[in-house]
Amino acid sequence: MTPAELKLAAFDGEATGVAPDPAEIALAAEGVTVAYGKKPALLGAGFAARRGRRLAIMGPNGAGKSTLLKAALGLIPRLSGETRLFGAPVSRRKALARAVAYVPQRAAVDWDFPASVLDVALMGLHREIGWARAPRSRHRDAAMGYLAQLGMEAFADRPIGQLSGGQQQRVFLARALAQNAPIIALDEPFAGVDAATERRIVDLLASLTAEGRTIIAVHHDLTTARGYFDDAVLLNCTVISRGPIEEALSRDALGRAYGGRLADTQLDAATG
Amino acid sequence: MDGAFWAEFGKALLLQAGWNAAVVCLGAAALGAGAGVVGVFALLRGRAMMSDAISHATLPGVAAAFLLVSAWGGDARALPAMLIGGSVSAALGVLAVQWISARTRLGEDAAIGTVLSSFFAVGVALLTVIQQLPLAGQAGVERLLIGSAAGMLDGERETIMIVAGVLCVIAIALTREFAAIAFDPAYAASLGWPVRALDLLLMALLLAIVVIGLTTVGLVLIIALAIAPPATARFWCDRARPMALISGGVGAVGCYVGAALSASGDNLPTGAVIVLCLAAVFALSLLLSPQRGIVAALLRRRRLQNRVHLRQGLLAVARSEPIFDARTVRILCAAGYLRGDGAPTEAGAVAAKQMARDQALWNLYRDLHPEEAFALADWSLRPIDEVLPPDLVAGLMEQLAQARRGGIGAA
Repeated sequence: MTPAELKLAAFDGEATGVAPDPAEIALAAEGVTVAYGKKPALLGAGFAARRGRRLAIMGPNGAGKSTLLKAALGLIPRLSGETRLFGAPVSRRKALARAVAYVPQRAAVDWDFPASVLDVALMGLHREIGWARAPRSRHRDAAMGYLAQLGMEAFADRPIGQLSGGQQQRVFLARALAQNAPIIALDEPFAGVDAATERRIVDLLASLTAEGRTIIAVHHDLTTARGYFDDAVLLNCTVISRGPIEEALSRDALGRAYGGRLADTQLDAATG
Repeated sequence: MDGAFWAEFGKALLLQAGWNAAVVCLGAAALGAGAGVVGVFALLRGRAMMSDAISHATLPGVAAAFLLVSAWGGDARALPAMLIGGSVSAALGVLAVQWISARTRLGEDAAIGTVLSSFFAVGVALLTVIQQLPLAGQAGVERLLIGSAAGMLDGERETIMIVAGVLCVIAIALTREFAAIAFDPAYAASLGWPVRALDLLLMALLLAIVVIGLTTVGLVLIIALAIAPPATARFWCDRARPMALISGGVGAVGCYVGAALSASGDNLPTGAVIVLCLAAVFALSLLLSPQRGIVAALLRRRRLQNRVHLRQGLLAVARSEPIFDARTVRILCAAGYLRGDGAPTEAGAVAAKQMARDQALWNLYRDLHPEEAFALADWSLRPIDEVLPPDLVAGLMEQLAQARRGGIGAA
């Protein structure tokens, strides 16, 4: 074990008093390095998302938050790093795909696309529908159910180009729910959504963790982090701190991650 | 264009202009349908220009195959050899584009431009060599540049129809998958899909269209068959499957009519006529589409502007304020709300009162339900009774009356 790994192992023990069963770590990524061009965007970073808890990946702009999430899921090439699923190394991309429902950044896609809200929700049921097959009525019913969980059932036949930002995010979430995966990984789920949608998403994430599902989200808002998440990883190219959110977002850690960029009021809000 | 031409055109349209013209029309229609369907997914995936790279990259392969076949003393007009050569060099072109855009920071457009022009340059150089050699069948090579449906053989028509049919079946069957990777490739990858393989399959379908279209439309113009019908279809629908069907239909009809036109006159270049037909349908759609067309957009903007002026004008009347905007005055006069001297008519006074009441209700609605009001496209632009359910409006009126009685919330 490298010193860094020893330290991490020590942390995982601290949190519960005993070393957690590796299978209790739903998704872990360790030693992840990603470089765009010559400069590493992420250097030996990682996280461990514990089962039934909500983990926030946090840090300043350009810290590599989304990069860490995508690299952990194998969506972008990495120079180093390993992903573990319930304690076991991930050897096949398929295993990860079954276990993790990914919610990309809303702004990453062109919403002026010829698809209805129901079409997008049905993408999440593709495994049940099968390749080159048309969805059956039970798939439609299921997709409508997931849309209803987010209050979007009335919009099922709308072209997605007509949705507001909050509605787009709800459709993305319905699509992820449709995968019925034990882990849900979200990239900036609260960016540019209205307050009602934000509330709804927060409640949904809480009820999903209550069911034993694991939430991992890239999040940048320090003021809401404590209310929305249980654990955090604070990044700035490398990991600054990680653990239960009160410890990970300590004044000292925030100071190191953000330098002098945070006003005292922001620090107060973040550290509670 | 005299009467004889149109008579001939009419006969060609009805497949009565003789066996040859009928073969050409049917072959072209199949080609157009295939290109239209496959093109939809290339367009949605942002790969529209890729078909240009593919078509131009066929030239060196076609020319090289011609030289090889001639050197071995084969029948230099052997079309299959040239098409195989074209496919090989076009496939190399696709791989080169993908390799460059994956390995460098150049955008895909730069990669396409570079590969397209280099491959085409090699082809042009080989063509010059061919022209200087005493070889038979040179016309066959040149035919592939600008295409000529007139010479289409029945065997070619059959090939085109079979290949185009297979391509349509594959593309329609994979509509949901192709649409998903076009809409959100990162999500598709997170589902464990082989996104690269699907992209390559799409490129292969596009390549097949280009190759079967070379003899009819020619490699310079074939790109239009894969772009114009999908771009046209996008004006008429909001979902991928109807878009594929409309695009296939537009492609089939455009190519059929274009081929019939070119078969009716002497020396009308088939490829160019077909492309002009497709361009005409595209231009009409661009103008006339009810949702996305230019005319509709202008009208919508105009109506909105008028509505805003009417609203502002009536609110000013309700507050007994002067109106300075000439357009507002004109609209109010036209509606019979203002007299020539600028004083409100009786109807104007009533409408102003109604508008002020609507506005007060809308404002109250916004204060009570900010999220819903924000999400509503028509907030405060249409009479509240037309937008919100009657019981909700009644409740708002009640609250407004209470607020006024209590002297609070006069906002």
